[in-house]
Amino acid sequence: MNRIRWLGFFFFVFAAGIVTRTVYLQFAFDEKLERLSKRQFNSKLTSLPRRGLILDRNGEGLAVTLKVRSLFIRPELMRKELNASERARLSNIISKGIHWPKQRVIEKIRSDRGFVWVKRQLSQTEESFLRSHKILEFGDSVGLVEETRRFYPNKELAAHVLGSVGIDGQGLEGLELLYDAILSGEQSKIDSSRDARGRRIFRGENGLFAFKDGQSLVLSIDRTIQFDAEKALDQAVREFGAKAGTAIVAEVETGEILALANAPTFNPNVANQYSADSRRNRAITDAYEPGSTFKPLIAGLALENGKTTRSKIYCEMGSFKVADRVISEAETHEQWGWLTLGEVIQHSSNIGAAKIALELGVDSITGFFDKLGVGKKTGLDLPGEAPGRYSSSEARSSVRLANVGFGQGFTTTSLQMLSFYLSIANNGQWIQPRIVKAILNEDPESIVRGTLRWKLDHRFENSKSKKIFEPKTAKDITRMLELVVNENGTGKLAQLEDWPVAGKTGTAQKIDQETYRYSRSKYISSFVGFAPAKNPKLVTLVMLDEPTKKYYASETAAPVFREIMQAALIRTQVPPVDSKVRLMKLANQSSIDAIEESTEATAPRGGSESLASGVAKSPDVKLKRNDKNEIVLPDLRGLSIREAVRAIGTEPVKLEIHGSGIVREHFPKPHETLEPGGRLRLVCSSHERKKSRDLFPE
Amino acid sequence: MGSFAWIRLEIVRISYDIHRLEKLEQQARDDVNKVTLKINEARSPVRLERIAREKFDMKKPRPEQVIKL
Repeated sequence: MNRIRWLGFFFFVFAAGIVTRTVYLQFAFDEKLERLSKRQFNSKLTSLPRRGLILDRNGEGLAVTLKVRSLFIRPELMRKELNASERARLSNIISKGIHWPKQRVIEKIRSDRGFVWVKRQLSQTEESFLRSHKILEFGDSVGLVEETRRFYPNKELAAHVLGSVGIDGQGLEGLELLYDAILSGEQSKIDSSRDARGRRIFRGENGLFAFKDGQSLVLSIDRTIQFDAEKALDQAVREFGAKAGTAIVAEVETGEILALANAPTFNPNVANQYSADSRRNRAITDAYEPGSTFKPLIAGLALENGKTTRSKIYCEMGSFKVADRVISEAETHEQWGWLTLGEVIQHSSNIGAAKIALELGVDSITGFFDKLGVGKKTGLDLPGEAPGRYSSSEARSSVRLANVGFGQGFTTTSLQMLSFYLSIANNGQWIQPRIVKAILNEDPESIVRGTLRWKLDHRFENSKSKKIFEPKTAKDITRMLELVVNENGTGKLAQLEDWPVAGKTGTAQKIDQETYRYSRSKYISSFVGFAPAKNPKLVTLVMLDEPTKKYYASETAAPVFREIMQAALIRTQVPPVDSKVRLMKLANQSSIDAIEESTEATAPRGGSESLASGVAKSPDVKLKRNDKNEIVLPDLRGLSIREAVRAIGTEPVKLEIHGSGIVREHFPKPHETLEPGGRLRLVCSSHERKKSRDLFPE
Repeated sequence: MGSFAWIRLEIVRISYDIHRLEKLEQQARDDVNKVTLKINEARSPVRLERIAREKFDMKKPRPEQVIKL
């Protein structure tokens, strides 16, 4: 009986203790307990914003961000949770999955730290491998965490403009750096509670607007023109053995940069594998003495100070003494007597230019340089722009002033020179060049309506502009620049067949860094010009740094300019200046009127792809099938390769093409049959049409 | 008392809905970005030029082959 009473008393005390504790927990305020509770149920969740896209002017993606996984381990925890054989199996899986030597993985596992990144930003293949080998079943000591990774789908294209990002997604160079805040979006922390499955329960309105992804940029860059410029520049740098090169194309009316190319270049997807030299945006960071390309601008100043294009200057027969120095022409054999101002530019006379500068005087030139922007940044929205250099005090020396006349004694960047010529092309009005056209915003109204639309935030619509020359002066300079590109000028290799060009060559000696004198073997070769001359749409600059195999700009930079400018004019659909000339060359048998009539009737607006081969309209030629389901070949002769491919359509045919241009023969022959999956051989040669072929089928 | 409990339950239910829809939206945006990347890689001028040259033996048109009217 006593034992039962003691047992009962014991249980009573135990139960009383529980009830007392329960009452206390429920009703008494305990700070420590409250803190523990909040930590468990409340959370500050950090949202990861997505970095905005970078698009070209036509909406083509240049930089895209995707969510990826990164692999981490917790070595300390791993040693408690996993035994030796499990750790060995894990290191095997990781080593195979991410293609690391096993020893490297083991070193990570042996670390005495609590948390170690194994590999950041895994590829999809790597992640799939690890998941398929059930890596997450090794417990909390190994895991995959979500991060973001930047991809540049066009690799090197526009690399110097785009820049690159670091491992944590922060901008390091180029637009990625300058617009980092806009592209990054906002990381936010929101107050919420969590349920047992970790799902959020909001307590207020704040949670609804927690996610603010980065905004996207629309550039003025045209991806196709950029590609053409990079390809031509890269080829020229290799062909002429140059150290580096730059090419820039801009729209005259707006100052928008359509292409900005540098060589050497880099792949921003793996930027850290390239040297700083490759990643440098030379178009804006490198300042150099522009040489003869500056002469037309000095000539423009002379025109505004009373000279005319016919004003005569005596060029001292090739030898002009200024103080204790002798100025000669670029070529020692050149000995000019009297030249007009226009001829000074056409023949690029150093003495003529020097005399113009001396007559203008240092104050006039300094004022002009200040207005033009020599020694000042253009303000282009890219980081790292150099201002160039001009010292008015140094120019007070007559020798230095004479040098300024032919583009020495001061420095400018390629971008600045392009902007100066843009002002000539734009009726004397300088416009600030720009690269970012607009920022994309989500249309807030469309979000409410349930659809997603983009809205352009046109914050760059009104560029800075200023008057440099009177319109008449700009036209006079243009006429002089057209002379440079004619048969007798230094820039004749820059000529285009369908668009008149105005431009200037420049072969400037570089300063030798050891002797600090002008080098006889190192040059900057450049050509800068615009087209069509009378109504300019585009301006282009090409610069080659230290070409070795040839160095005259007339032979190096001028032909590169022609190639890039032509591609850009075609791409921007600038009509040839005289289309009748084009049609006359094509019409062997047919009259101009017949062709014009036909093409007016059949050409779609904006130009026609089918006209590229010279055929007014593609005949409706298609492969057909007979009763035995064999492919019956029509007569493909006389078609261009593109038209032949179009005629084949989706028929299962193995195509083999020999040569290029127009189809001359094919095997099997016309009206013969071909088994589905069989081989069709086209033998082609360049643009020779069968004369008997009817160009204008009824 | 009952209304208060109902309101609290509704908040929880709507929070779950928001959570689920946010996940869907995030997934949709990720999918858009993935497809954008694939499209841009496929349309890359470098890739297209290589295919034109190597597979179809095409060359850049000469100036006289291009007509704009």
